[in-house]
Amino acid sequence: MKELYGKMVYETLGEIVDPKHTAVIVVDMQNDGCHWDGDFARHGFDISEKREMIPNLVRFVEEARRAGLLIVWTMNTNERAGRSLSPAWLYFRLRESKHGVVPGYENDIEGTWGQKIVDELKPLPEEPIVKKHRSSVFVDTSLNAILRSNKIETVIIAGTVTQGCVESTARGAAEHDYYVVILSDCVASQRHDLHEAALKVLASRYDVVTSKDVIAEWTRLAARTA
Amino acid sequence: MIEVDGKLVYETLAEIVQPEHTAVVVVDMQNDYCAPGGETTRAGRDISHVRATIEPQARLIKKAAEVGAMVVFIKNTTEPGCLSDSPAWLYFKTRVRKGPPGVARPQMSPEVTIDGTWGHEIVDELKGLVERPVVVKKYRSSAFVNTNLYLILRSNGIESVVITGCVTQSCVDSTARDASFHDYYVVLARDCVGSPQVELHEAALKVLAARYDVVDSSEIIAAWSKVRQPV
Repeated sequence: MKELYGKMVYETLGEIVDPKHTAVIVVDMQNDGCHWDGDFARHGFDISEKREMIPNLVRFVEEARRAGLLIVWTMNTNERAGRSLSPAWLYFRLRESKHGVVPGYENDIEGTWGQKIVDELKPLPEEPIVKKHRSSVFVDTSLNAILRSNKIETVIIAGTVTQGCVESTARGAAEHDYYVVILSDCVASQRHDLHEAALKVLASRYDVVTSKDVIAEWTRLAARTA
Repeated sequence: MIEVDGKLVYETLAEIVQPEHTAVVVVDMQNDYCAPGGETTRAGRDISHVRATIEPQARLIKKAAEVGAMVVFIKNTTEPGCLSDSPAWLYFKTRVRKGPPGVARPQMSPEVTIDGTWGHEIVDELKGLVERPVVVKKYRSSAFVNTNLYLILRSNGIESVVITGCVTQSCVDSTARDASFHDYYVVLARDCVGSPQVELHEAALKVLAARYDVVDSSEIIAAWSKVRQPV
């Protein structure tokens, strides 16, 4: 920790990811985007990198629970009858479809199997699930209220898709005054090229580390306070 | 225009950038980022890529004013003594930017674009192009976070934003994303956005072009040139 302009600023990864003030945000690990029977895979999108990442994320969530962190899950959600789709957002999704990024806008629909979180990751009853209608989970959701209520200072971000909801959420988190840590081995996309480009930009702005790096810090901290 | 699920959705660039519902959002074209002697050059970073966008931006802004599109100048702002910087934002400003050449870069002072200083001012080439510009101060990367930008845009029937300015992978990217999350059509003028880190500019544009319309400013001007001038 160092003092800058009269404020205490963390310096090391260990200080930043202290379980006392850190939340894990698991972004959009839902069936439509991450299951072989989901909308993306059925339309021929390659979700193999998302599938490969899931075991890392499962292990990380288990460790985070053991270390006592707040865990928040997000569900990208389109209300039924298109009620959360603005003309501009429809244009955005249709355009992304034309560019081979997503299979249209009829996915993650409220109340459907596609909207649900994949079976491998089982949110516990006490872990908040935040519905969002846009890429960033900081836009028009309850997330900030939940984080603030728990005096969270740092968010660790995992999930999908790297260049979309993960990057947007990371930017939102930083701009709402959280330290931001992104797990390189727990984020993925159906477009590997956009995943790589996004990680390059993210690493230039925020701490991009592996889940093992973070777990090692928790282990070190537990040993010191044992 | 097409109808999708009962909603009218614009299809063409011309429909999207109609002057009466479009705002040109000029991001952070300030001395500290774009002028020799500003904090960016003092720190040893290269502003030539950013400076190359000034002339196209000037052309676009002048045309926007002519056809009656709103022009908003965004000014990144730090209160004196970094009063507006949270600990996490100070960490973001001061963390060492490592990486290969083109990505690694020297530190800039957190005291950048301090309110009331020359560094905070809009560059001379773009100042005074619009008679009564809208000016929005921002304290984070996105021009939508904790500012009155959203209030101003929705108060004036704006449906689309054309984004110019710097830095591509930073405030331009964050602003473009937030604009789309607040339900604006987003158009980025490719020749009007720049960065001291060309590699990061390219990576960011690759992702942005997969999400939003990234077009040459000449296409926007061409679309406006077909519009009748306001009386």
